[in-house]
Amino acid sequence: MQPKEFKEQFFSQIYDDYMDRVYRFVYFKVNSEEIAQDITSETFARLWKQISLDIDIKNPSGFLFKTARNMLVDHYRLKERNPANLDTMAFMVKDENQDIEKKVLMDEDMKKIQEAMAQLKDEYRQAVFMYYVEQEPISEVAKSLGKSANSARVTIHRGMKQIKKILEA
Amino acid sequence: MDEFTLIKKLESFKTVKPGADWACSAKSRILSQSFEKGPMFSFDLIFSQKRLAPAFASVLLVFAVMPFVFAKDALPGEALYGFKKAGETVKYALTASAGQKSMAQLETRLNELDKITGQSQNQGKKLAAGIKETKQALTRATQELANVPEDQKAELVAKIVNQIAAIEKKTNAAIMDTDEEEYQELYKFFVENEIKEFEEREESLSQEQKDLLIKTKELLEQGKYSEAMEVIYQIQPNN
Repeated sequence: MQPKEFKEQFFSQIYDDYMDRVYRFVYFKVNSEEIAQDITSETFARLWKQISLDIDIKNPSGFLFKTARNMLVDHYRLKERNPANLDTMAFMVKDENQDIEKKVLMDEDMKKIQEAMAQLKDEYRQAVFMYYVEQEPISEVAKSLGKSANSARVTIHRGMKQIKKILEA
Repeated sequence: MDEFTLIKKLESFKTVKPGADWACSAKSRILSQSFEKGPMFSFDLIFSQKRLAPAFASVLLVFAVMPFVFAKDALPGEALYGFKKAGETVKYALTASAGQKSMAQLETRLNELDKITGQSQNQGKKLAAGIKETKQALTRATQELANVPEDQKAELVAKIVNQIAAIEKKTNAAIMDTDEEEYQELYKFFVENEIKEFEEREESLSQEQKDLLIKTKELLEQGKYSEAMEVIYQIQPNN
């Protein structure tokens, strides 16, 4: 068993490396700061639990994005069951201020892109997000999608086409 | 919006970040949570590990099946005997009719009893248990006799009655107690079939055998089946 300090150090390293990316990934789907914070924080709490219990994590990035995806699915299931409650939450969040986010949202085009991203199929959104927002190489996108590099390129292309279609509508 | 602008705007989303204060407090909050390892053995933990689940399920299956495998040769009065009987119930429920099932089980009980008589250890305890099991099986088989297919009935009954007689001789135990009313149907069927067989080769019978056959028929007509069976046993078939 590893000492607690070592585990904390290991977790902190992963947290610092991936926190922004996981947050953005969630944020593009939920379009709400508060919900994105909740899901991101819970995602990392689950990682900490794994580390605390000495459960081996070979691919922290894979674990985090997979957990975040699953939690988003749960979030939308819950939203389907209780739409009024979560809509209120989303409305409240839109009114909140957060420095950088405010800057981004001030641009009307970017707001529309963000909404278009939220409407994409999970796979398209993940591919476009990883390639253009996170600027990950194709090999990483392919690995994350469980596809070949060529197939990942096609997915990114289709995702972009879909965003343009939504924006033009 | 052209593709170049769209890409540039997408890239600028990288500036979206959670607030530094929130990120810091969230980290502290998460690290303050402590998780203790549960018991060394936990079904939940094992089944939550996708790779381990099939292996663990196989191990469970082996442990569940093992007693039935080891119980294959268990005898009445032994620890695993219950598993053997449970296995039999499943086996016959899938493959045999009620009549065939009870006959097959009776045959198994008789074979067990035969094995017990050949053993030297714990014979008394096992013999008592074996006789009890056999009597129960015999009662069930008699009750189910009507459900045995006609073409198999004669052969099965003759086999069982002869097997019982042989074991009674070996053990000196009264398995097929002639006073028991519930076995009357079995005796009747057995005697009728024996008479039929002797009648088919009546010409080859001696006078003494013919007389015994007549006596058997009379007893059968009078409804004295157990007595008729005792008489017909006295007719030794000529080879």
